[in-house]
Amino acid sequence: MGFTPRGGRGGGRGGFGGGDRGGRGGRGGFGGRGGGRGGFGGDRGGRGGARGGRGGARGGARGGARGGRGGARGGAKGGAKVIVEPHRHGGVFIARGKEDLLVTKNLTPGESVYGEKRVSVDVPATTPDGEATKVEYRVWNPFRSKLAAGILGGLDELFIGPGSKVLYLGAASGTSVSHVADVVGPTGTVYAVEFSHRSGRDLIGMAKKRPNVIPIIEDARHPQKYRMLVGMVDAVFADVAQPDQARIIALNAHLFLKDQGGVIISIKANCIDSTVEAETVFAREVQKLREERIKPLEQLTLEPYERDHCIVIGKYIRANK
Amino acid sequence: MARLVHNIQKKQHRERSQIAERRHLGLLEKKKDYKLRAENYHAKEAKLKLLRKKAKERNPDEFYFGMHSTKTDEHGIGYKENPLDVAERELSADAKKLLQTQDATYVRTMRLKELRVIERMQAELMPKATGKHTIFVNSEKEQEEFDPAEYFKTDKTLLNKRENRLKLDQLEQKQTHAQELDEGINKERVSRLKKLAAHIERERELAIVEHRLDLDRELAKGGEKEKVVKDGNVSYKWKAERKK
Repeated sequence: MGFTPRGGRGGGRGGFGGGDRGGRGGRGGFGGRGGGRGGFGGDRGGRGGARGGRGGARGGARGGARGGRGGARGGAKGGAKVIVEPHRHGGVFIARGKEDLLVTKNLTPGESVYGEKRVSVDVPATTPDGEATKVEYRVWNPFRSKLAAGILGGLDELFIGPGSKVLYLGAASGTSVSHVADVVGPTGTVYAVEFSHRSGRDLIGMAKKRPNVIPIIEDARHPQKYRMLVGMVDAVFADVAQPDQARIIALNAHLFLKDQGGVIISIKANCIDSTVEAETVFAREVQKLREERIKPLEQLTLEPYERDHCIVIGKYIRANK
Repeated sequence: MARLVHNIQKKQHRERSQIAERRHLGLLEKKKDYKLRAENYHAKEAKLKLLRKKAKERNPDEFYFGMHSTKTDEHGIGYKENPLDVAERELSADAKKLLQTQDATYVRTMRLKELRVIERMQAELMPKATGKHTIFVNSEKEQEEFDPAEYFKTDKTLLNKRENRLKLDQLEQKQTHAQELDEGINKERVSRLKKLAAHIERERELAIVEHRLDLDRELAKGGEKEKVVKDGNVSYKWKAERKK
C-alpha cells in the first residue's frame, strides 16, 4: 500500500491498485485496467531515480512513514519509557507510555496467556545495597474482557482485590480469568467454571501455570456438582450469557457466597431477550437479582468496548435483618 | 564564431504594437502570425475538399475491412468500440459471475484486513469509556442528596477521569510523579488517532463496495423480487421460493 500517505480516499485506492499490481494483473476487464496502472507506478519509480536529489527525498519520506507504522506495532514493549501508576482497584495498574494501558502484574513472568502484550518496568532497589529488579505486567484489553471494560468505565466497588476468593462463572478460555488471577495474587483463589470442554482445555492449560486458579469443567446450573471443590468466596463474577443467568448466579451465590459478598454480572442484552430494548432487559435482570437477595449497587453500560452490554454490581445479603 | 556584421552600426529593430483604440481586437497580427493562420486554414480546406470528393465518388457496393468493427450511433456517426469492452461483453455468463465473486472476495479480504488493523489499534489506544453509569440508592432522599465525589470517595477533579478515580487515601499515599510524560507522546497519540480514523473510514467504504458487489450478484441471479425504498436506502426483497 504504497499510496497510504496520500490521505483518506487516496489511501483506499492505493489499496486496490497495490493488490492488482500483484497477482491479478492478467485478468480481463477490470483486472486489465489494474495492470495498466501498475505499469504506470513502476514508471514513476524509474523517473524518481533519474531525477536524483528529489527522487531520493521522496523515497526517504516513504521509508519514514513505514518506520512510523513499525513503531506503532512495537507499542509499549521493551525500551519504551513506561510509568506504571496504581489504580483505584487493588491489583490493577495503569501503564502510561506511548499509550495508556490497563495492566495487571504478571503471576508467571515471561509468559503470555493469549498473545497479549507484556510491559516490563524497572523497580529501583528498596535498600541501598539491594539490586534493582524488573516487574512484568500484562496488558488487559477492554475490547476482549468485559471486566476490564467495566474497570475503565469507572466501577466503584469491585469486590475483587489482592487476597480475595472469586468464583468465576463462564470462564471460557481463561483469558480474563488469568487477569483476575493476577489481581487476587498468590494469596487469593479463582474458581473458574466453564461448561464447554473445548474452551475448558485452554482454561486448564492456563491454570497449570497459575496455582491460584482452580479450573472446573461443569455446568454452572448445577453448583452441587462442584461444591466439594469450592469454599466460601468473597465475590461471584458471572459472564454466562444465558437467558436464565440470574437464576444460575443466585444458585451459586446461595451455595458459596459469603454474607455481604459481591456479585459482578456481565449482561448481554441480546442473549436474554433480543425483542426488547437493552435498557429494559437490564432493568428486568436487576429486578430478578433483587428477588434473590442481591442488592444492586451500580450498573454500567460498556460503550464503546461492547454494544448493548452492561455490568451490574450487587451485594449479597445472606440473612434477613 | 564571431559574426562579421557590425552590430553597433545596425539600427535597432522595432516592431509596431497594437494601437490603443484597437486594443480590444487583441495583439496586432504580423506576417508570421498570418502565415501560421493561413497554412492551417488551407490545410483544413484541402482536407475538406478531399473528403467531399471521396464522399461524392464513394461506391456503396465496395467492401472495407473496417466495416467489421465500426458501428454508427443514432446520428449516423461511425465509431469504434473499445476492445476491452468487447472482450468483457463476450465473456460467458459463468465467467462473468466468477469474476464478480473474485472481486467480492478480494474486497472482503481487504476489509477484514482493515478490521484487524482497527482492532489492534483500538486496543492499543484504549479509548475513553462512554457508558452510562447508574448508582442504586436506597431512598429518594438519598437520590436528592447524592454527591458523586463523596460516593466514590475521591477528589472532585477526578470525577471525569473514569479510567482511574483514585480514592482520597490513595491520593495522599501517592508520591508526586516528578517524571511527567513529555509532549512528543501526546503528539504521537493524536497522529495515531488520525490514522485509526482513516482505517475506520476505509473499512466503511469497503463494506459499502462489498455490499454493492454482493447485491449485484444476487440481482443477476434473477427470481421474483420487489424493490423496497426506505429512508432513501434501496433494498430488494425476493419472493420466498420453495426449493423442493
